[in-house]
Formats: sequence, C-alpha cells, structure tokens
Amino acid sequence: MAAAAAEATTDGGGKMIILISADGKRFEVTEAVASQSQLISNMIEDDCTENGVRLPNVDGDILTMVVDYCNMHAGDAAAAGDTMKASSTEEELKKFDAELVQALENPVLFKLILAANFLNIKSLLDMTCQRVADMMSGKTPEQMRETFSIENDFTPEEEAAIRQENAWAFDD
Amino acid sequence: MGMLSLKRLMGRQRQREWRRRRQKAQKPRADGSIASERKGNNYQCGKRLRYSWPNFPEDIWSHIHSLMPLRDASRAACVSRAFLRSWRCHPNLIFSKRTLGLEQNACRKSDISRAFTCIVDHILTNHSGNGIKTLNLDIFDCPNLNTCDLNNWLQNAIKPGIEEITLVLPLKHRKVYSFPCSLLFGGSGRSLRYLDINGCSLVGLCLRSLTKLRLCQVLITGDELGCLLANTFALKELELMKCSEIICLKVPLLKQLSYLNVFACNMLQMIEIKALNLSTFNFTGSTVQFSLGQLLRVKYLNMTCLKKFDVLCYVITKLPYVVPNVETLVVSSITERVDAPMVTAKFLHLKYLSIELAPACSISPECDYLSLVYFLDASPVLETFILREYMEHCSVFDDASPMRLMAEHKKHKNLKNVTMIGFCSAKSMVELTCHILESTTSLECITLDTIVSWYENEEDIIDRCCVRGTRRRECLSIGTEMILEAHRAILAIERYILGKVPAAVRLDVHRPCTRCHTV
Repeated sequence: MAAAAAEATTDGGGKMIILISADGKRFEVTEAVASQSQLISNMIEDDCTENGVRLPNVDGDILTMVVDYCNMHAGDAAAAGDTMKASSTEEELKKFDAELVQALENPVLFKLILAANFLNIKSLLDMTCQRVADMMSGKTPEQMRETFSIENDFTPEEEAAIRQENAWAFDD
Repeated sequence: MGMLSLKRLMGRQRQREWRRRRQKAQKPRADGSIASERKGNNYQCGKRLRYSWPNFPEDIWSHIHSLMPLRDASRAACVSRAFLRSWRCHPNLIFSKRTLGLEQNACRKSDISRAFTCIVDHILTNHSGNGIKTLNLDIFDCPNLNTCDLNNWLQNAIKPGIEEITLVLPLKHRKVYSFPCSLLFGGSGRSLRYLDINGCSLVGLCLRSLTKLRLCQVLITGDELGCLLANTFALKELELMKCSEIICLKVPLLKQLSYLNVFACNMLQMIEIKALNLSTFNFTGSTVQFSLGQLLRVKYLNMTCLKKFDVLCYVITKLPYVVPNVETLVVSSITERVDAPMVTAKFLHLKYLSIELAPACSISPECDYLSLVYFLDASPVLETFILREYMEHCSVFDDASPMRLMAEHKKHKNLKNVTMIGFCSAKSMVELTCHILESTTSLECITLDTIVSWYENEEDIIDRCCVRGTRRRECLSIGTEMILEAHRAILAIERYILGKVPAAVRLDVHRPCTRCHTV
C-alpha cells in the first residue's frame, strides 16, 4: 500500500494539497488523488485549497482510510489505456477493496459511509453501502431491525398488510 | 466495457448536476469548510453524527435499499415506514426467474409464467412509478406470458427518468412482438441511456439521450435503423446482433459514436459509416463492402469471418486503405485457400496483430505459414504478433526438401513479442519461426505453445494444471492426435529452432500437460 501511495505521489504529478481532519490530523495528497472526491475536485477548480481543506466532520482514522482508498484508486484512469497493466491492477484493487470493506466494524463502516457521502466519492460510497446491503440481505425484517436498531413504526394492521403485499419474498 | 462506460457517463452527468447544485450553495468559507444547503443531512453542515444507525440519513438508507437484490429489498419494505417509502420508489426493477426466486421451483413453464406474472403485477401495481431508473425484464423462460401483461408492465415502469431498459423475450414471441415505442416518445425517451432489446420489432423512435443501443434479433430494416439512428446524437456504443433484416447498414454522422459491434447480421452486404470518431469496431459475419476512408479513426479492429472467404488476403490487400490508423488488429478466419500476397500498402500504426485460424478451419494444405511474413513486412512498427491455429500440414520430418530462406527480407525492428499457439511441426511453421528469429532485431520473447486451446484470456491459454502455482485445476482435454503432434512439435523445436534463438531472446515452450495430455 505504501508503494502504491508513493507511486501515486510521483507519477500522479501536479500540486499537493493538505486535507485536515476533524481532530487536526494533516494528510498531504496529490490533486489527482484528492480529485476522486467530487467535493474536493470542485474546490480545486474554484481555487480554494491553498490553506488546506478542513474536513470538520471526518475523523482522522476515517480520513486515513479514505486517503488510502484514493491513493489505491488514483491509478485507475491512468492505467486504463494500457490493457495489460489495467488488468493486473484491477485484480489488486478488487482485493484491496474486498479486504477494506470486510474488515470494517459497524461504527467504522457507518462513519466511512458518511465520509464518502460528504466527500462525494461515488465508488467508495457504493462499495460501503453495498456492504450494508449485503448485511441486510437474507435476513427477515425482524433481523434487519435488530441488526441496525431500526424502530418498527408500523401499526400491527399496517405491518400485516405490507407483509401480505410482499409475501412472495418470504421463504415458505 | 459497456456498463462501465455507461456508469462513467452517468457519473459525469451526476457531477454536472452536483456542480449546478453547488454553485447555488454557499461559497466555501475562508477556513475551507463547506456548508451545504441540503436539508436533512446535518452531518454535511460540519457536525459529526454520532454512531447510531437509526440516525442515518434517509437518502443513504434509500441508496442502500436500492443496492439490495429484489427479494431482499421487498422484505426490507416491511422494516419501517421509511423503508416502505423507498420501496415504493425502488429504482432498479430487475425481473428474472432468478431475482423473483422462481429458479429452484422445478415447476412447469406455464406455472413459471403464472408466478412471474403474479409477482411482477403485484410489484408494479404498488410501485409509485417514480424514480425507476432500470427496468430489466428477462422473460425468456415465460413462454406463456400474455403480451397484454407485458405491455401493461412496460407502461407502468417506463416513465420520464428511466435510464436503462433491457427486454429479453421468449423464443415464441420473437419476431412477433412489437415494442410499444410510443412509451419512449417524450420524456422517457429523453432520459433513456441504455436500450437492450432482444427479439422484437422497434420502429419510429427518437432517442436523443441514448448513449448505448444494443439490438439482438430485432426485426428492423436498414432504413428503419437509419431513421432511429438519425436522432441519437449522444450515442456512444452501438451493437447489432443477429438483426437479419438489415441489408445495408448506414451509420449516420454521430460524433460521439466510438464503439460499433456488428455480429452475425446474415443479410448484411454493405456498411456505410459516417461516424468520424469510431475507434473500436468489431465485425463478425461474412465480409461486406466498406467504402474507403470511412474508418479513419479506428484504432481497434476485430474481424471475424464466418463464411468461406480468404480473409487474410482481404485484410492485407484492402484494410491498409480502409483502416490506415489501426493499432490493434485481430483477424479470425475459418477458410484460407490462398496465401497472403506480398503487398506495398502498409499498416503504419499497427502495434498488435493477432491472427486466429479456427479449429474447424478448412485451410488448404498448400497454404503456407511462411507467407505470413508479408504481414510482418506490412507492419513496420508491429510489437506483438500472435498466431493461433490448428491444422494438418506436412510435417518438417516428412519433407526432405531444404528449408526455404527469405534472406533478402528487411529486418523487423520493433517486434518484441511473438506468440504461436498451436505450434506444430509443419514445415512452413518452422520456417516462419526461423525467419522471425533471424530477421527480428528487437525480439524479447517468443512463446511456442504446442497445444491449441480456446480461451479469452491469453494467460489462461498457456497455463497447464501440472505447473506449480497455477490456478488451473484441469486442462482442456484434447485428442490423441494433437498430443502426438505436440510431441513432434517439441522435437522440431529442439532440432530446428533452439539453435537459432539469440542469447537475448527468451524462448518459452509450453509442452503438453504431464497430467492431462497423456496418450
């Protein structure tokens, strides 16, 4: 991972920008890496990144993961022209993504989704949301509520009706 | 590739939307933090949200809900009112035997049709009709489906905002069913980006936002398609498969069109392409007439000929004028009766050439591999040459005549990698290999695989299960004859080729698998 980050810094080129987490940790990344965040990409276009980009709602440990992810994926577009290279890195990326998302504990996953949504990094948002979707799949509504502490705000009659409507999706 | 580029495009679209929204929002404050005007998402206003799933913003829950498989998403609707709301606007309606859970039931087709109809009816009747982005109706296994039901579903689901429609009809309805095109006039047609229609007719559409169009077994004539294409200004990818009513394909001046795939459209005789930016062209069928200068930007060309025709001869004599800028060329042939001739025209930009002669290829035994040298001569900057073949030829061991030399030939200065899959002991094959070894100054690696197999991935082709560290469990089984020939090929390599390999060149010989390829 360190190697990938170093590579991105050298061949990603361009200016460096500083990201500052809620707890004051600073991360130096290239514009190419940071631009995967649509939020930051727009700030770069608007020229308001000189003094560093403060992210007051993203903790340092979460931002570490986001920066790792962006470093890892920064080569995506660059490698696309070279099919041989792209196919080998694609596998590495898949492995990296799978490991990242599998290892997440609920609170971290929760914060990472919010960070991805805030920073507007679509691929990371989709990947983390997919993890939650996978966690819900195969469960009964009761188990889904239990896993994510969701309150059942239906009246018993409403719940019976909605269950009736979706009866096809319940195992016999 | 299709879906990816589609997603990329959708991403861009979203970006634009985002920018528009952002421009309306407050400018970043001096400290660099951003205040968003989006309501309901207090985490965006600089406050940190405590870890608590119930506090999760509803729009993110909706997004998560949309990523669940249909059955799970339907069950999740029973979790809470918020989930029910998002189910009523579920954007991805993917209806197939599998997503509806009808796969395991080993019931009769009529039962499947009935169960399918019942569930889809239920879902679409209760759906608000808002927010549908993807409609995928795979009813291949529902021959008894009523087309009135189908029309109702399409009417309920195709609303302005729809981006993708895929329809796969059962065989029985193919060529009979007529897609209700009027649904795509107006708003729905404007938002549509991807249309994949399998086996119905399609006339009178105007789809300005469409970026990808895939028609398979669609009854459409060349003129009708021309009318359809005339207004698809955003079209980037066009695939026509088995559309057997097209005789003359006229692709109008579509500036965005970069990918064209024409597959087995049997009646096709002529292709006229005015799309200037076409860069990738896959053509599978019998050769057709191309007008000159139409494919100037094409960098990748894959030409697979299904009819009896001397493709190699056609490629080397005609294509340098048709696709002068091609960089990657893949040619597959089933018949070769004549050798490739020596030509003066050149592929000045060709870097990658792959020639595949199909397993059932009826190639005349006199056909000469050595003539493939003319391809190398015609491609001065070629770096990679791959030959994949299997045919019966006079072995070098049975022909006492001396080896032919092509000494007067100029050197190949850019060729780095040569791969021959299905390397055999044919005399002209050995001669071709010797010629390449002797006249290529830049060669880095030559790979000779004595077994021919047919896989997509180049690395899979030459892998053997007996090699340590390989992921392959088992090699493709081949006939005794090919195994014997492979051993003759190894003998030929040892006797005629090994001594000619320069020190700087790596020779990779792939022998038959010691586990699977035994006699």
